[in-house]
Amino acid sequence: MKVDPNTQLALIEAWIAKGQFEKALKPLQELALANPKNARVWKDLGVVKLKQGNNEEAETHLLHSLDLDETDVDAHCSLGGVYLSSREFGKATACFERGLELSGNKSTYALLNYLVLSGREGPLDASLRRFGDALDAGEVRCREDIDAGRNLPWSCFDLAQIHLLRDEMEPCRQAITQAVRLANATWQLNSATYVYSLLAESCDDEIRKGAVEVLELIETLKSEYFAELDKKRCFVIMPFGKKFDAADIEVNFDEVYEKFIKPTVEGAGLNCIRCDKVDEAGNIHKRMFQLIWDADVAIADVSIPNPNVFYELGIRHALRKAVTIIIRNKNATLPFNIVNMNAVEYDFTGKKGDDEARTRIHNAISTGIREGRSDSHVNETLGLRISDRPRVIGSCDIYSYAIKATKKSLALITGDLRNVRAIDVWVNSENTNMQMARYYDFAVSSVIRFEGARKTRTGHVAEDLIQLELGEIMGSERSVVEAEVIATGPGELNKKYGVKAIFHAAAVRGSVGEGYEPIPGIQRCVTNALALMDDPERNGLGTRLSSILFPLLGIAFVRGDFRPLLEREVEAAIEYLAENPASNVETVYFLAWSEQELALCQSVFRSFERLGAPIQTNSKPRK
Amino acid sequence: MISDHPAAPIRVLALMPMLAGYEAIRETVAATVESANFELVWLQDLLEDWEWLDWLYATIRQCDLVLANPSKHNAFVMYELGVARADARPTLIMLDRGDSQLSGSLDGSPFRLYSSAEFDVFSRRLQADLSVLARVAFSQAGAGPDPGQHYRSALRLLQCFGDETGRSFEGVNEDAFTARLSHSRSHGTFIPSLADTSLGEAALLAALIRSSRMVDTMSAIRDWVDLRAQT
Repeated sequence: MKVDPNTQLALIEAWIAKGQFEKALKPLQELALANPKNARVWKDLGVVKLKQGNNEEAETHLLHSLDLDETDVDAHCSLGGVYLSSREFGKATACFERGLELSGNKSTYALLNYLVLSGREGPLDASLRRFGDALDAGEVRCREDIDAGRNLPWSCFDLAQIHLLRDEMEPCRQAITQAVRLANATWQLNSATYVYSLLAESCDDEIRKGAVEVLELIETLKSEYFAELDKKRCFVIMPFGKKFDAADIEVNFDEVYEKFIKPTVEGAGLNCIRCDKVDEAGNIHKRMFQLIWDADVAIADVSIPNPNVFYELGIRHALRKAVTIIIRNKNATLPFNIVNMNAVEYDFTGKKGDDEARTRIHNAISTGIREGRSDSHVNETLGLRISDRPRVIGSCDIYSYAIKATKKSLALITGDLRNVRAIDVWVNSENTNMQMARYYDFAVSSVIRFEGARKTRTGHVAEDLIQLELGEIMGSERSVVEAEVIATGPGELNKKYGVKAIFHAAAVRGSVGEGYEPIPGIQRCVTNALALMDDPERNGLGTRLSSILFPLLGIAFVRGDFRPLLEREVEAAIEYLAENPASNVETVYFLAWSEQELALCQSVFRSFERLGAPIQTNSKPRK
Repeated sequence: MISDHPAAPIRVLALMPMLAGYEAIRETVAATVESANFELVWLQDLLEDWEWLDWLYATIRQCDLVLANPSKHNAFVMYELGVARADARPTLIMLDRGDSQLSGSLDGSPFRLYSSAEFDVFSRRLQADLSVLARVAFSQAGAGPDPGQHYRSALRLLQCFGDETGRSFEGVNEDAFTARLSHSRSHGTFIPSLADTSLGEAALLAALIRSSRMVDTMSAIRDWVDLRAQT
């Protein structure tokens, strides 16, 4: 029996509305092949591609859809969305205008986006007058939709935007709050945030101000309401197909996955992912290792001594800080216990799983996530990544590595910055806005700021010396270019720590709704700082600077493997010193605060053949 | 640890099955490592769970090279290899010629074959491998060459291999090659600075040839590469 494509499309469009773009893609592609003249299919394909960030294909599909049916308002608006996201505002405006025209000004989607774009070109007064009735009608439709539970959270976001355009901030805030509460995926918030970031560039002062406020509100609400809804992922490491266990009973692992593990994991509120079989072309490696690294939770079924399962488990243990749960069939004789973790036994002989095991897995997931528990003894021992609770090094040890064929050296210095003495320059890892951290933030910047400040007799800050000087240098400038390094005096750090200058390096950059990330080419911070050491005019201290201390720049903002970042920073230091034998700089120190950081630094230093063997001392650095 | 003291010998961590039947190969490996003037670090006796894992974690970081024998798909050795991968130590994989193939997770990686009938041949070749690997053990850093360049080199090698041996193997496409080579690099069986050596050539061919994890295929690759290195 042939199914009506429109029936299938209704189902697929429901998936799209829920953000299940991957799920929608394949049936849409099949429908497109079977119904090449169906404009709606091509439109939906375009929408999916747009949501997946593939603007080029989205544009192609939407244009094709409009070739087949030029009167489709949604297709025009979606195409406008493509151009909006690629910042082709002229084309976007044309699409939304056409959408308005075709809908008789009834498309709220077209109207609001058209007004966003108009606001970028000049005052909105005329447009607001022209579309006043349409806005009123849009508000009514939004309220009806909200009351009926339709098109959420978009109807709330639209309503908020209407209020913003009318400069009605209080109802705008209420609608935004409701929208964020109703949102169920990150992409929805990102999509809304993008529109408000465009409004924040409006020519109209009031709208611009209101949009900035809304962006801040979304950010606040996001952390308040949204974090818990952003589903975490569980990667399942297990054999495939039918295998015999230790009791010589055949186990269908695919069935175990589908009927026991997957429902248990999803019941705990996580997305459950199982890698496909390892194929011989090797492409699966990429996905598998990404999942081993990225997944918040991993479940490893060690019912049989499967080499691939054990290999992946070893990697997971060594690399990952988060929750790893070992499970096994009750018949299995576990070859070894994974340290202090008891394997959860399950009984699948009755083909229905095991309620007790389900509960234990569920509890292990929720407790592990809630407490951010590091349950891998390997990870703690190897400590190659920064865990939630790093082991801070109490002593101030120095590991010096001579740079071969030079008189210069690199060194690792361990422990708290406040134990370090007699290094001329401390580098402060800063954002491009040069906003130092607050006193009680968990950052090198906050330590430098606080320790450099003049204090009252009771230890409170009397004068924020370094921040004040940095502020004076910045003047009316709001940011510096990436990798720029600015020198300030050391404030009170000189008296206590012997520091002669602070170099503020623009090593990370921020974006609204995304937080901070390391700048590309972060190694330029190292090169620029060393060049500043050798530039008496710019550093204001002549040629007296011979030692400099870098924190591990940018690593606090890397999700995943930050070894490459550190490699680039170390490489830049070696190159600078090797290529500038006349440099005043004799030693470049890197600060390894925790055991994990030290292990990583040592591993990286060891990988550079230009560095000699380390010499360890346990004293303050001396020049 | 070698990196802490230039005069210290290179430490080779051997990850070997503890099962009966592996005594002879364990002895061969020990003798080979010793004759290469390297220090062998391995498990001499079976340990209990906690002890074994503590030993493993403590030892891995103190070693400069890893030699692993995951023959018969030994899950213990595979687990150890997974842990060792975290520190990207230069790694040699060895496999019993009696096996049919390497475990799927190591697909695309080169390995050295041994058989009880030819321990002396294996020993010589292993010693050569170790000396090449040790020479450049600490030169992995840097941006690394363009993967496309490696792919082209691998294609040329495969062509050469076909011309000289009369055997032809199917290669994977460039994307798959890049993924496999990256995987191989991550667990230390391919080191970019070794690309021009016999070890590097074996790694490039292993990443390119679809069936490289089959023992027969790898045997042909290694024989040809070894011969090429000699001449």
